Amino acid sequence: MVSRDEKEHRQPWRGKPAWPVLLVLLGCLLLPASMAAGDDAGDAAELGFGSEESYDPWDDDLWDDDPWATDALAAARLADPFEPVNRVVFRFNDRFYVRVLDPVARGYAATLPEDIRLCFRRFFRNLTAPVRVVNHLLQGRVRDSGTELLRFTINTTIGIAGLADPAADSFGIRQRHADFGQTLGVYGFGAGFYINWPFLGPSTLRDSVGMAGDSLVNPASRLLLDDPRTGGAVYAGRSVNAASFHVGEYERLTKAAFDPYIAVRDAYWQYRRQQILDRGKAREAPKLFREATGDGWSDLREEEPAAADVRQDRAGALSVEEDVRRDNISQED
Amino acid sequence: MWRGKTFLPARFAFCYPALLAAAFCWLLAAGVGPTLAVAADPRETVALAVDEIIGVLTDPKLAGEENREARYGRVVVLVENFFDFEEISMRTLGPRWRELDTEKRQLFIGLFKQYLERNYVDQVDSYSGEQVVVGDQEIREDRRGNLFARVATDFVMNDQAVPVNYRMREKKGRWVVYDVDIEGVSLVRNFRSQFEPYSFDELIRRMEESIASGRELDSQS
Repeated sequence: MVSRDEKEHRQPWRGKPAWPVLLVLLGCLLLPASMAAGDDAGDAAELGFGSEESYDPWDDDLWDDDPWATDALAAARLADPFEPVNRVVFRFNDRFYVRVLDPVARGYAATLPEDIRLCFRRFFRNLTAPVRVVNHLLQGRVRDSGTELLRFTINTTIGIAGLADPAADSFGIRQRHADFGQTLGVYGFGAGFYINWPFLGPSTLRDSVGMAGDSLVNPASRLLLDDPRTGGAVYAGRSVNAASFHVGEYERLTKAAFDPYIAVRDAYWQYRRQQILDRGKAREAPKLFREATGDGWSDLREEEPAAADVRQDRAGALSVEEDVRRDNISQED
Repeated sequence: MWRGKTFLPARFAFCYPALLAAAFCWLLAAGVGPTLAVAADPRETVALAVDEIIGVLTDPKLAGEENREARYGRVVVLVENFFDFEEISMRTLGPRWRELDTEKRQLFIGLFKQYLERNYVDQVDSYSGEQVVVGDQEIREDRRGNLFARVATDFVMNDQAVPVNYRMREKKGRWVVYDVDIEGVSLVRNFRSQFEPYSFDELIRRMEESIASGRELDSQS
């Protein structure tokens, strides 16, 4: 059995020089024109990103022929040196959720109609727009950053402080997630190890640094620092409102799990890695990142001839579905 | 439900000529190139299964608490047709699979199937008219000539779409699902990491307990 440390070491995110990339990136940010010109990212290839180690978790077993077995996603494992402590916190969070947050959210959901709760959710999402604007920019995605800025402007004005989302509904400009933990991941920082925070839930060392970084540009977090009582109330309100859309989900997930602690830890880890890999591979991503994260799933988003044929066969039946689908694609890219 | 009956339902009748033409092309190709899929499209398979399951869930004759058993029964039949539990079990246990003899493998497949069905089947009741949009498919072939596919779908609810991707294999002329990932979280990988710290006997024991306790709850209610 290979030790966790060793496996962690073999993942492509670790052991790569992150700082040169960061410097190249800062250089790129200073010269946005050169980015727009065509993603050559200069010496990117010489930084060693092309030679990604592939580590197959199936090793020599009979499934090593699975064409997707060597996904970078499968490659890395998350270290959990503080598992005993994390499990205690997990139990605490679990009880807090089941006994406090969930009943409150249920009562709240029963009192307020969904439309109003959706308005609040949009309001809080709009508040965190600065986080996305900054992080898209830090990830070298100038266009996405501008898009988020535009969304923020439209929704804060026409959308009445973000209660409505005319940017998406009328202009078709969709939100794209970005946060500082993800930015660090895109730069090549390893996740470190798993941390289960009281109240905040699953995180890693990197994502905790990310959360702290994001709170500097998040107005709600600033409020929490400046005026803890009001800020705390805002946070509680946001949490209850968010939870009101997911009533029962947590129970269903943990009930179906074999070991709920590991289920949540692994789901968080897979989800975060996907967010980082997606970001590296998306079409607008600078070539540097695309090389760093390799090819794969995102290619599927490109038009595929076979699928297009099927679509023509079923054109009548599918035209409505296709419109929705296209919206989703535009959201992705 | 198309098991044992016609392979394609009547609503696809308009593309039968196209399928015949395609089948003819396959015959020609088989002579020259490597044999490729003879199965229905992975995308079609997913679209069909999704339609059928939603059909069961929205069937007024199967709605309500009193029809719960019948509804779950229908869903389980559809799911067993759509998923390949042997493949799922193998991938969930990972390299440990090879050390097991046939008997233990069959034991595990049976238990894991029951375990998943017990724990997940009631989740279908949270369906409330959400739309499932079947997107693109990607097919790859491995070195042994096995065909694998990924089909992207979106589960559209409220104001957002949750991406759900199916990973499939071609087996005996049919496409079967061996993994589902929801927003990038693979079910098989998630269970593999949960099973890892436990010994095989421990796994069996805990799954049996969980299935048995589920039965007790059922008889109480």
